[in-house]
Amino acid sequence: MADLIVEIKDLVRTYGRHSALDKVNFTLERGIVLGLVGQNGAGKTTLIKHILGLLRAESGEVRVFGVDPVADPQGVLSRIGYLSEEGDLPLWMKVEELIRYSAAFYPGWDPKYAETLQKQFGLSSDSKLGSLSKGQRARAGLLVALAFKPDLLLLDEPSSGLDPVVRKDILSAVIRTIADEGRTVLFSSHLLAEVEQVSDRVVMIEDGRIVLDDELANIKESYFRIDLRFGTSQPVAPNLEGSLHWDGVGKDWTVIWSGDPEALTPSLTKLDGRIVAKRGVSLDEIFVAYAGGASKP
Amino acid sequence: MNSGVMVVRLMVHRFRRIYFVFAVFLVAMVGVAQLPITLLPDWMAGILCVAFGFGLLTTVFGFVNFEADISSTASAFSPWLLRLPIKTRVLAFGPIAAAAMWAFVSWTLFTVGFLWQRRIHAPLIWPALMFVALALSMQAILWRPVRLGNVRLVLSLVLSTSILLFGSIAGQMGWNANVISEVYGCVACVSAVGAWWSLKLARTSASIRIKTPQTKTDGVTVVKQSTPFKSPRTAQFWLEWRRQGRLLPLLTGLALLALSIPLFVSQDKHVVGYTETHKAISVNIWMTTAIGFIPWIPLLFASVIGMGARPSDIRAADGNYHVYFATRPLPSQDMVRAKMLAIACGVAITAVMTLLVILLWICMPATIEGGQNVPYFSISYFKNASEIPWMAYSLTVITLIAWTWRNQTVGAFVDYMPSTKFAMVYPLAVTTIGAFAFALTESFHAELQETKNANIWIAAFVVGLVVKLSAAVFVSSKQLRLRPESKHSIWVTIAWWQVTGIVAAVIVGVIRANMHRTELPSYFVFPVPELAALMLVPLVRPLGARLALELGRHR
Repeated sequence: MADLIVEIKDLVRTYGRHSALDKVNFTLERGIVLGLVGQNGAGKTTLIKHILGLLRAESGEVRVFGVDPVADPQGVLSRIGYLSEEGDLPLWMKVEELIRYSAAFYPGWDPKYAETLQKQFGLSSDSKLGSLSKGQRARAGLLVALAFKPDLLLLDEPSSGLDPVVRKDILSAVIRTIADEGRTVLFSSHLLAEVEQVSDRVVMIEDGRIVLDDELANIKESYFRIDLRFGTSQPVAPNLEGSLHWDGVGKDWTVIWSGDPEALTPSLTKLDGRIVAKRGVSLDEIFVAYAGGASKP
Repeated sequence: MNSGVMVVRLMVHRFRRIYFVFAVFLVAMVGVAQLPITLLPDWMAGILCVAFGFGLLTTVFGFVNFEADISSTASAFSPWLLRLPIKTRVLAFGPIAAAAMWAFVSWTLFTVGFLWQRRIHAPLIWPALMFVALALSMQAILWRPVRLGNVRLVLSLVLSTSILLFGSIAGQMGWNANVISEVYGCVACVSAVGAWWSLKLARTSASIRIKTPQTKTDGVTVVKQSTPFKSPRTAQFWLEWRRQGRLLPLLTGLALLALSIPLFVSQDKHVVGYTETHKAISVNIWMTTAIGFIPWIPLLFASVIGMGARPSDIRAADGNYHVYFATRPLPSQDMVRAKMLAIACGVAITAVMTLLVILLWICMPATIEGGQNVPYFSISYFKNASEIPWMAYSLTVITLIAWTWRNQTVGAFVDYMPSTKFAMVYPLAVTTIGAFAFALTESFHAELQETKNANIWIAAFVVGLVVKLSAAVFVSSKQLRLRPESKHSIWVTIAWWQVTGIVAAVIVGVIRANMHRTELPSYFVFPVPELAALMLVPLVRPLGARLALELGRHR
């Protein structure tokens, strides 16, 4: 059995009447880069906060490095490098103070690596965090999340609203972390092209439920975009098992299809339809198919 | 609509009801001033005056910005108002004029319509100008974007305190009311120009950010790291010292320095007594005027810091704990310990500084007629007078140092309450209750010093104690609901609350029972046992701080 870094069983979290997480089951093995995707409010950050121990499980179980992060925050947090969308850094600190303060908590802190990152990110020691741009602040957060070479790197939408140069820095950091043997990354993002670039596995979360959890390679092999033509005009999108999302009008329709495209043929024959074209889909298209609205069958 | 009026309306729109309520209250005050003293006794009038003071300060600061973060580097002027397509002078004029008029008219109505009607002959012009100067100087300071937010914090506190104290002190020193008015008038005028200039800077300094955003350049300075912290605990102590500990000694040091300057500048002396051979003993007039204030300075600042003069690092605006601090791999108990230690160090340094300044002051010479100089503290020897006043003063100093520590500690742990709403309401509730208690005490000053009325103090003490202990039970029951598995620790805390309450009650009982034996003056004895005992009770809060912090850290 693979070495489990994160293990979540039947996790439930509610905010008033709203169910933020609904019986979520999920594991993360050592050495994996996991892309966590979903719409705003889908439950990604709530899930990450449970992993950090910032939220207690209302019901279900959370284990990180084999222990409950609420029961042993010191043991868990000392092995996690965390960078959030907001940064959440103390803005009154100077870069040098942030590094000095953060270093104290991690026995594995590597001062040379920290200095290298500082130079690479162009962070002056005497700059106050509050006076830095959003991108520079994200870099400072990345520096303190990486410099102790964490066993688990948690990135919660780290590149939202940042320019391409900073996003590239973050992606490089993920790639560097992967290069270090045995390190694990959980990368939550809206930017699916980035997730696609670095992830081994993708978990898609929708309304507090995991709707997709698979290896990226499998996902790419299992989903198709198929253009169809029907003999007669279709007033609404046909309801076929395996279809995720329909787009079209009249006789010409496009479907995002999950599974073997050949399974579509018998149903199509009944509807006097045929396949015009078929191709693979991007993660972006799958995301829109699961999350995106009106033309679901 | 006139642009200036529009700016003011937009500025205070969210809080417009407060202004309305205050205006109605002021008019009502003028109305009730006509009531006979049997219907509106002095103690009730005192409460109305305190409420007026709070209302005036609140509404005046509304024209600065209610929600301003004093220690921020950004301008306190609302960013969206800064972007309005109108000239800076128009943008500035409305709030400046509104603040000045509101302060002046409110005080005038209050004085003429209420105080004078009740035959209290308070001055009219200089206090009105004082409030104008206070409002405009705060506008000048807070509207300006600055490099160092802490400097602004210190400057705001020192300047506002100085403005509020100057008139009373100058009056006591015999300054003419016209001169005081002129000084306040000048401060107001300079502040108005300053406020306009600050606004101009705020509009032209690249969206209020002073430093331009850093970019990746060759000019990056990467300095060698200072000595690393020995342990996470030392790092946490450093953090707490920076955020909580050092502010008190810093502010107190500045205030003590400012308060000491007139001692060396002023040459005026007055006679404080006579020796056995009938020679007059005279001392610097500032000595006797201000030495009583000195031990209160740390307490004042401790209360202000405890009541959130700067935003908390622990709790974000949404009530959650700041993620960066919550994710430090450090046991919650160590976080609490670091905070306590930083506060203790800050208060200890402050106490030493205060005692040294008092020592310096009482070593200043008192002159005996004929030319002999003796240290001020030794004049009781020459007067052959009782040493009780000195004992009382020493006890006051010790009590106030303890009170300072207590306020810092209790204030620091307000954020650790399990209820966000409770934590927000607490400072306001404490300030209001304190102000009402103060007003009542002042109104009944003479009566309350009589032994026959001791029961009033005891009743007040019992009510206070019951409120405190009920609040403790309420907080603990919430903790029990949220963390049933920590019931042992919660029950221990509840038990400590009750034990402290009983100890406080016993202290009061013992002192009351032995009061007839004491030689201390009644003004010192009467409210002190109850206050001292009541002050003990909330000290249990840090005991429950670990659990409260964990409640916030793992919600």
